[in-house]
Order: sequence, then C-alpha cells, then structure tokens
Amino acid sequence: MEIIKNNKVVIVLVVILLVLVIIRSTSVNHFQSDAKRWAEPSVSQSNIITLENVKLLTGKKLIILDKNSSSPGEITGDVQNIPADSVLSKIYISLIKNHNGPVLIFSMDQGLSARIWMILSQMGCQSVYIYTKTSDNELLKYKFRPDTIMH
Amino acid sequence: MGPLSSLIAIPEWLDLLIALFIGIGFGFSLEQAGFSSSRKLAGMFYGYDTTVIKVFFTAAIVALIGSQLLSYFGLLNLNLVFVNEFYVAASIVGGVIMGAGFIMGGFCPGTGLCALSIGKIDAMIFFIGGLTGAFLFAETYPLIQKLANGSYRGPVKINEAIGISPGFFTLLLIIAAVIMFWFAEIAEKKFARPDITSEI
Amino acid sequence: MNTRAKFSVVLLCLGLILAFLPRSGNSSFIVRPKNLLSELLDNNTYYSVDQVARFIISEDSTVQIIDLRKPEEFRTANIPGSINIPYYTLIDRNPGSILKNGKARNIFYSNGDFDSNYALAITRGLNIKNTYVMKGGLNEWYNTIMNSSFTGEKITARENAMFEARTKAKKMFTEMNSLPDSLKAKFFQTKHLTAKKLDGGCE
Repeated sequence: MEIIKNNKVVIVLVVILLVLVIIRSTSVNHFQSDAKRWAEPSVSQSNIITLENVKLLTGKKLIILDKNSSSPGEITGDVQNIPADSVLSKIYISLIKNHNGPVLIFSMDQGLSARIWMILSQMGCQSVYIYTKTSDNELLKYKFRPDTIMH
Repeated sequence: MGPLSSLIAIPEWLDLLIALFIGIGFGFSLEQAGFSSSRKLAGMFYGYDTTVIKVFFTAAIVALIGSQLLSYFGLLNLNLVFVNEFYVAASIVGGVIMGAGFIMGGFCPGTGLCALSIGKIDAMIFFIGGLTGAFLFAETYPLIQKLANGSYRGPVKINEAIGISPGFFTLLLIIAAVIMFWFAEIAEKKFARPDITSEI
Repeated sequence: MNTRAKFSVVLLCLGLILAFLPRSGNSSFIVRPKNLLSELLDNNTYYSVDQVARFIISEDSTVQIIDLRKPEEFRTANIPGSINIPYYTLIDRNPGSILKNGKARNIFYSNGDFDSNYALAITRGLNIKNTYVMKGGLNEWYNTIMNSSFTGEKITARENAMFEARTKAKKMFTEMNSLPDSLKAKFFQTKHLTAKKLDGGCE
C-alpha cells in the first residue's frame, strides 16, 4: 500500500496508457496496418464473385448497395441489404465484421464497388466480395487496329 | 511536427517555429544537466561520472516509446520519419574518430555548442577544430570517397534486420538500458574521483 | 525504492505494453475511415473519357495519365502520353514516392473499372489527393472515342465540339500506337515543335 501511495502519479499514468491501448486494439473503426496485405485479394482477383459461386455459399448474405442500385433479384435466400453510405456506422461495421456468412457489394457502378471493397478490406473485413454479373470487367473488349500507312 | 500536423494542417513557418522552440528547450536542458562541463562529459570514459549514458539512453528510450505509441494511435506516420542510411565502413571509421575527439576534447558537437554559448574558451577551440575537420573532409573528399560511400546498406532498422516487432525491440532496449544504468552506478562507485566530481 | 529503481520499473512496464502491440509493417491508410468513404463516394474523383480526350489533344502538362495494366497490354496500345505503372507494382512499392511528380492531376485507367478504382482508393487512403479515375477505362474509350460516329442531320455546336475532340483523339491514338516503339518518343517531341511554330513569337 505504501508503494502505491508513494507512486500515485506514475501508476495512474501507466494504467491510463494501458486502458487506451486496450481500447484501441479492440475497437473496430480504424484501418489495419499493412495496407499491401489487405489489398492482396484485389491483385489476384479472388474478391470478385459471380452468381454461380454465390449460390454455393451458405449462410445469410449481407448485400451492400449504393443508393442508385437495387438489390439483385437473382440472389435468393436470407438476404439483408445495407446502404453503402452508412456502411461505416458502428452498427453496420460490427455487423459486417462479426458476420458468419458472405458479404457482397453490388452496384451498377462497378468502380464504386471496387472502392467500397478496398475500404472494407483495409478495415480488416474478410470474406467481402464484389458481386458482378459477368467476370470479365478487366478484359479489353476491343482490338486495336494499327494504321500502317505512315503520314 | 508529426503528431500535431496529422490532426491540424500546420503552415510551414509554424512547423519551423515549433522546431526552434524545441531546439531552445534542448539546449536549455543540456545546460541545466551540466553538459557544458567537459570534465563531466569526459567522466563517461573514465568512469567517475556516468551522467551522459543515463541521459542519452533515457532520451532515446523516451523517443522510442513515444513514437511507437503515437504511431499505434495513428497520430504519427513512422514511414515519413527519416531513417539514417547505413554505410558500414564509414560508420566504424567515423565513430572511432569521433570517440577519440570526444575523449580528448571533452565535448561532442551538441554539447560543444552548448558550452560555446556560455562563453567557454575550450569550447571555442573545440568548435574551430570541428569546422577544420569538416573543411578537411570536403577538401579530401575525392580521396576518401570510396570509403565514405562504401558498403551501403540503406536505411536499416535493427528490428527489421533481426526480424522482430518494433515493440518487442523496444522492450529489449529498455532491459539493456536498465542493466546499463545499474552498471553505471557500480562504475561510479568504483572509479570515483571525488576531487573532480565535487567541482562539476 | 530509489529513483533509479522506480524509473526502471516504469520503463519496463511501458516496454511490456509496447512488446504486445501488433507489428505494423508496411504503410497503412492514414485518412480516417469515414472521411475516406465520403471522399470515395464523391463523383469529383471521376473524369469521363471525353474529358481525358481533351486533356491529351491539348497536351495538358498538368495532367499525368497512368496505365495500370500489364506491360504487354500497354505496349499493344495505350492512351498517348500515358505512363505504365502496373497495378501490382503500385501497391508493392510506395505509391507516394511514385506519384510525387508535381502534377496537379494523376488519372488512372485500366481496361475496366476495377484496378483503376482500387488504385484510387489506395492512393486517397494514403492521403495522396491528386489522383482520379477515367470512368469506364479503356473499354469505354474504345466504345466512345474510337467507335464514335455521328448519325442524324443536324448537329449542335456542343455536339460538334465533342465530335471534333473525339476525332482528334482517335487520330492521335491510332497514329501514336501505330508507330514502332523507337519512334514514339520522337513523335511527341515533333508535336511540341510544330505547335510552337504555329504560336508565333519572337523572330
């Protein structure tokens, strides 16, 4: 007891620090360290999913939608929609992180899906996928015809 | 200034002003700790006064702990902090020269300036010596260029080289420091020179 | 306990706390999550293919167009004036140093919409503000610019301007990409020269 009384200030400071560190390590609302690791699925394109593979996934599906798109009707079963602009609110982000099944992102603007995926992945969410109707978004659909006549 | 500028946008002049005040604070604390006395500084090498190692090791550890914690809470981006580049041969040779100069002169560059500011004559001579050394380095650079730029390892961090986390490295360094402090106390008793320590 | 012992104990406690902190390896996003989300939901981060076409025909030097595809695809055909930084290279190295080029705008494009928008999210997350995306990617460029045609009888002034810009961009794209590699750099230099001569100036 003598020891604690004599060193009040120091003990209080260390305890405050400990508490802050614990709060920070358990909180959900900040980005992970090591951006490269959490961006990796976008390089291997393992984060893109089409309808056939969605049907193989079990569990309740969370679908993140932006305000201009409507929920894809072809995905049946237990589905919950989440609006994209509030995806980082406390309720939704914990829902996504603690969810047991797949989390899908769908938008008519595929660029937007890509952006939201990156944010969620960097927050440490795994099993988040971008739902697309076809899997050829990054294929070039045209052939360049060179002009062989020099002007 | 790292932690502040990530919270508020600080104009460059304010950054530099803060740096000026930090520098003034540094000089002030050096002088208050008695580091403008060359006998105190040289005492580190003879063993009768180990203040230098205690102060500098403490400063290093406080900076290490502080920056790790600030980085953890997202207030400081450690990737933006400058890391010295490591030239192996040059570091060894330069270290030996600097050590010899420290023991002989009783000052290192920072403390030398500190003593100069209070008007010590030996600090003035030391300072002139330092400038001469820098001049000689520049003039003989073509000859020593190979040594100066040899065995380049890049900006290495010890914890990355060994492969442990920075937090764990901090703990190891703290343990080393604590052991060092205890040895310093023992050395002071063993190599005591009361005729010198009573004056500084 | 004397001061030294107290001090050592405090330091050791702090060291223990730190030792258990997770290892933070490479860079992580700096911008706060909610701020990043609103930034990325904003349409200001997009440029249309028509806007990019106008940048390249006016050779706007404040703009850098960046092709995120693989080097082979870049060599086959790329938007004139663009540089190639494959997506996997961008996240491997430090994007900040690559993009510190003093340009007001860095516009990413890939074949579609994914890679360019990933790159945008990453760079904005690292607080690199001057990055944008060409909406629709090269597929949209081909669709709009290269296959542009006008049908109908009358044309408004605005449509005319747009059609002219598209035709010029199409011409530039075809000419540039039809050159053998060795001539591509020279092509840009001569374009600069002819423009200067037309400008007039001191004799």
